[in-house]
Amino acid sequence: MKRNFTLAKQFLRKNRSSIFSFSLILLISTLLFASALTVNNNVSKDYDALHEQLNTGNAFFTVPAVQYTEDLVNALEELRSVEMAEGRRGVMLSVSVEMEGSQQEQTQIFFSLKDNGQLNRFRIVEGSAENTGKGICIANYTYIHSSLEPGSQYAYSFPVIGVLEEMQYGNYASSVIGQYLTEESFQELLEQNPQNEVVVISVKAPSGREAYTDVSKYLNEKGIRVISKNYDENMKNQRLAISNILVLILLVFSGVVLLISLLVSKFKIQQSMEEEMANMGVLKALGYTGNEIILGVILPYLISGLTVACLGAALSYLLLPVLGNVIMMQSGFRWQPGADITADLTVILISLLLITVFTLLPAARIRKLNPINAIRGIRESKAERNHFEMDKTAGGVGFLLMLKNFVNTKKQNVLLGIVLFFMTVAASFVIILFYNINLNPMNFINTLVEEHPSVVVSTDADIEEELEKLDHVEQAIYYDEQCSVSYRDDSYKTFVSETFEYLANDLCYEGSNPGSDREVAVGSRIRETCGLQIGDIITLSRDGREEEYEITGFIQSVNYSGEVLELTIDGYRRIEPDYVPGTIYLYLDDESQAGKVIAEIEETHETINSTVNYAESMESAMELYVSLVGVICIVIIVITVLLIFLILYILISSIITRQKQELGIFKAIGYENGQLVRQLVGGFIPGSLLAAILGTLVSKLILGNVYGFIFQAVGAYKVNFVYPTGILCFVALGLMVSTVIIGAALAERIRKISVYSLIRD
Amino acid sequence: METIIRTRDLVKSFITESGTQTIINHLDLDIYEKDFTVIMGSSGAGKSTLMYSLSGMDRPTSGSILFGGEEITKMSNDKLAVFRRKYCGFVFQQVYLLDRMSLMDNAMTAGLLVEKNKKVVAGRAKELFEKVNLPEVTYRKRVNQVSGGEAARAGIVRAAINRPAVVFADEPTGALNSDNSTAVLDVLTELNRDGQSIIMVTHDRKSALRGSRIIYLKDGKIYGELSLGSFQQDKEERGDKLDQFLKEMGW
Repeated sequence: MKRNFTLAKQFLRKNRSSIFSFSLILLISTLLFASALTVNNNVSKDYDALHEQLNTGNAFFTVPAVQYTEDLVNALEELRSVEMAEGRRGVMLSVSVEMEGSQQEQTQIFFSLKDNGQLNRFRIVEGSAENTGKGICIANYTYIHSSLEPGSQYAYSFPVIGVLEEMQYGNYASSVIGQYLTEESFQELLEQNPQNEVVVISVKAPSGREAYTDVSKYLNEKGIRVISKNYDENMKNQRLAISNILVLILLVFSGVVLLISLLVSKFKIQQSMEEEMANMGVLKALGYTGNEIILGVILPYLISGLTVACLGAALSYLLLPVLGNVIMMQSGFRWQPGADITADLTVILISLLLITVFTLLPAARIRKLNPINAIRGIRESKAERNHFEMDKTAGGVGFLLMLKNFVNTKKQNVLLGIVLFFMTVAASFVIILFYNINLNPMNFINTLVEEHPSVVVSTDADIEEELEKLDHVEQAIYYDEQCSVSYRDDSYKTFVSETFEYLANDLCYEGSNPGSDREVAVGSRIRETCGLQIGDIITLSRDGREEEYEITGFIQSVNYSGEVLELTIDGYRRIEPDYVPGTIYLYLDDESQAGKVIAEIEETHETINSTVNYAESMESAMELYVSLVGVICIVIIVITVLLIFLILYILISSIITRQKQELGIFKAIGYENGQLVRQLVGGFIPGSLLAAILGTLVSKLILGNVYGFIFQAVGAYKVNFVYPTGILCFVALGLMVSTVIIGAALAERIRKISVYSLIRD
Repeated sequence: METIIRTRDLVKSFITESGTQTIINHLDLDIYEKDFTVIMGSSGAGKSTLMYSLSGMDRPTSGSILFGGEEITKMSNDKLAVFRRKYCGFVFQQVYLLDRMSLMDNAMTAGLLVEKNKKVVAGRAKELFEKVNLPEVTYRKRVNQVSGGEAARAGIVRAAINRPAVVFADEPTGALNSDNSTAVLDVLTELNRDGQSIIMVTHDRKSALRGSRIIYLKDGKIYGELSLGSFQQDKEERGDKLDQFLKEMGW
């Protein structure tokens, strides 16, 4: 073993720089990999733990207080799927809140701090919950996205006294945020808004989904209006959607980086072996066995790989708080990253295993090495042809030498090509992400949200045509997200619209939206659980009335986990004949005029119940999403650019070092530096060009599927990303130009080296 | 004979850990056209350093080198490259052929730098390959597929292809067996007979016998000089003269 270490030490000394650069790339890869795994292994687990710790209900229903009685809770507890039920009084209001620097209209439920019952408890994370005088404990989600903090003033002049976390209405995923008032403030608010009093019924059950269905059915049978409802699994998916996307992006990216670092290590070992062939021959001649030499060669990579993987796993703990903040921004859940030995060991073992395989592949040749041939520099491979004979091939000397250089360095060029190919795909992946999130955030938003008009008008009168005539209004459409229908005993949220043709966000990812009263589009989750196909006839019911509908397509809905349906107004009326649409979605030609349009509507129409400046809400939501994922995008772009330069530097400097003596010979016989630089760089061009073209083509072909795979994890089946060929070409061109520039910059070094030294070194 | 290379006050020193080491020490030297100049001396005397300085492969620390009347120490690297391709040919001990090419392509690579017409260059290369006794089947092979002697002779073809003013040979027989050494020396001798100026660095007495002028270096200076005249195979006194000279030099 001592002999192995001696050999390894010698190999390490000679290949210091290449092992260092390999380690640097591996460090980045393991850092990202360990971070992604830790997030993946822990966020969900810690979320569940907090859910349990706060004894959060598995399903919850907000009903008008006037329809609620204590008997209702008792009756729900009798249901087979329900273990326990509890009601909590609240006041549900639409409040204008400052989010990310702009005012956003939000639906909020205000509870009393006094009512921290058995189910759905809260915990204070900032300030206090002193239940005296006036005051409010705001949700952590509101705290993160606004400038509100203990001591500042909330709406209705409530002083903020603390920040709390709870798992039911802790973020805006259900389109409702829960805030907790002191008893005095709660009573004050209740007195001012008695008509908005609600009760949130929390249900503890082994299966949230089952309880959700049973309770929905029961409430429906009893004619109790459900204002808002949700269940644990759905809620978790909504709250952790960004976290899941983040994990997948990091896993995909770190995987590509790991693969590239392994390819580079394989190449470096292969190159070192060729350079050290004579020495290896001498070692064999001295009596070292093939395995001893192999171990000596791969040991430095294994030791540095092990060290770097440990370091990467350790450093990931510095990155995790940043990721934790990003996760908190969307989920409102404060995730405290802790040590995850399983994730660390997984990263270390996977890295070591892959390094062993990738280093053994080239090193295994040593076993067959004939010592005398190695010492004499005789290659055992079959004789290579002399390509492009100069006296017989057309073309100038520079061109011919460039061609020869390309053919003669084909192994390195193939590797450079493979690496560039992966780098093109990785860079395209990142740039497309950046383009669709930061530059065109609507593409990202449309993937994750449902319909988003400019203004929402709630009215009891049929004023659609009048509204359409207003300045800046391009389109007015009746659209209702609050309807529900039952299918196979489950109640589903149903989007009802007079038309799905002119909406801002087409949710249909396969087939088409319903166009007639006998058609329905079905959410992705319902499709999967019920095994539905386009053309199937399904029976929908409401209040005991049943009708058949033909499935025309499938729709996505991240916020409702794909458990939604789409019907036309006429279609809905078949099972709800008394239905009168009361929500009009307005689409403006200039969304900055939304405020003016709302003012005009409120001034001229007395029949308006409420208006929502949705454009403004969307804008702040967009800012939120963009800042969330944008941070990650920028980090990944910076890492990608660094990696590209680092890898190109390693590969190209290796190629140049390898050709150093040859360059010296060329210089000796009278070749100028410029000629040599052109010849060298020209040799990289065909391979890099081919790799860039292939990388661009493959990116164009697969990126849609890659993003599809990533977003499917959060229930988005239709990724509204665009993949502009121009941008992909720009990425490829950028990489090509970088290759040439780095190649030329490195090749310039030969200018400073004297011919004599080049030959002798 | 006309002077083709003239050095004045030539100094080449290296900075080492133990201080500055002067290899060429204020050397004044004239090299004559059509001469076969042999530079000898003990190891570290500065033979190769002098030769590479004279050919513009390495830069001296100070002093001047006039090559064909042109001062080469002031030339830029690229000017030196152009100068080398036109006026210098090199034969190295390790041959240093471009090993991923055929012997022919090695010659063409050098030849096409000066003469753009491929046919002319190829014709001249074939002539030289014939002269060094390398048949087509051999000169079409890649460097790693031929013997050391064949490679050495191909090195001479490459050195001579542009009809340089001077062929510089650094221990051209150092890595060859006796037969191959003789073959290489014969080719160099024949080239010289055709009017080619040659400067050769050697340790080998047998190689030195081919020279018309022997310069012995010691501590970076000319320690002694011997004129042998043109090489004649059967003249025994030539060998005696050289032996006597080398004995005086402390060889």
